[in-house]
Amino acid sequence: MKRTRTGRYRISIAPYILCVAFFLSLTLAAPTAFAGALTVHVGPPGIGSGGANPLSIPPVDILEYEVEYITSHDFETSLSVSPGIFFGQRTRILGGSAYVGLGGGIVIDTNGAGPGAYSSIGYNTSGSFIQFNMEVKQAIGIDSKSHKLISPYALRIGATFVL
Amino acid sequence: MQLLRVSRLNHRSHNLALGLLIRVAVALTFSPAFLAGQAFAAEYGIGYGAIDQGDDRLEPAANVHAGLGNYVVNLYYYGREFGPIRQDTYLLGVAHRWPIFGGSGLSAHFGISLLDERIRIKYLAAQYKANNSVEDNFNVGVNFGVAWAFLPKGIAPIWAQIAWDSHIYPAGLEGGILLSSGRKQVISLAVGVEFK
Repeated sequence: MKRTRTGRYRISIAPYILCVAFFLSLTLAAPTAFAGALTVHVGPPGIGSGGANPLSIPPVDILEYEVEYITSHDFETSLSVSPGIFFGQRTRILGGSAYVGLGGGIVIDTNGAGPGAYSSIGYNTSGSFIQFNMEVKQAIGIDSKSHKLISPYALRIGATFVL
Repeated sequence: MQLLRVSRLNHRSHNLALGLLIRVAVALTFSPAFLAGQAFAAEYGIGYGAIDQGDDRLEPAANVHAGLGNYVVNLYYYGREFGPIRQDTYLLGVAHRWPIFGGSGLSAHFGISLLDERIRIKYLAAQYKANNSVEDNFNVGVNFGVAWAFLPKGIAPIWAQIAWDSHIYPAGLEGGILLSSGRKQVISLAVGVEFK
């Protein structure tokens, strides 16, 4: 993701489509009974240019969204402009209502994009179909062009749909 | 003069607050109430950290680590000087930790974070001394991270771990509603001793 002279962000889509396809294939190849959960998050990410800005009202900025697909065996694929696109696994804590996620993927922030790792901690309320979810995610990676460290993060809330 | 009085007051309250924080952290860490049925041993160490303040640039920091059972306390300090201005930053994280992914040595922790950023302005020239001041900026947030105690069990009591932490602070009152925040990310390597 690069900033143009006019102040807008320019995103080349092709590599991200490849990454999405790759990580979704990992999810489908992971041991799973296939029924899982889908989480839709909204919240401003910290993209390497200071802290996270306030959430836009209404939240129409694509930067603020994240979608996660979690298999029944707790493998997860998460897609967002920033912190990025990841595949990982969750460990349940606090009796299963909270979780810690750990994995790798493509880290993206305003200073570049490249391979890296993420960790997250989140909480789901109880509910048979819809659950309230809150998650903090931190990522760290190496920008593939400058080879410098990039480390975006996001604090997001959303809904988990049990499939 | 009023400014100087306020500065002295701030300085005194800073020392009181920091002292209190350290006492609470130490009391929590050494309390025998946390010993029973814990997944972790006790370990104490010192280390080196790299802190990012939201702009992907790293600052070197010192780290003091204490863990007892399922609780972990980390104190980070870093500072820098620009002419007459000195900035000292103290980060204190007190968190609960859980082992993750079986017996891999990996753990995750989540708890509270306390921040004190002290800006001290000290002119030596007599004509500017009226502008000298000390200002403390406190913040309370959450501390989340993962750590990896990577040494094999056979070489105990020597202990070492790599930790990756985020200290996230709400940006004012709207931070709680609109999720705006500031973060200090710490990557640290600590070595010390472990007691079973």
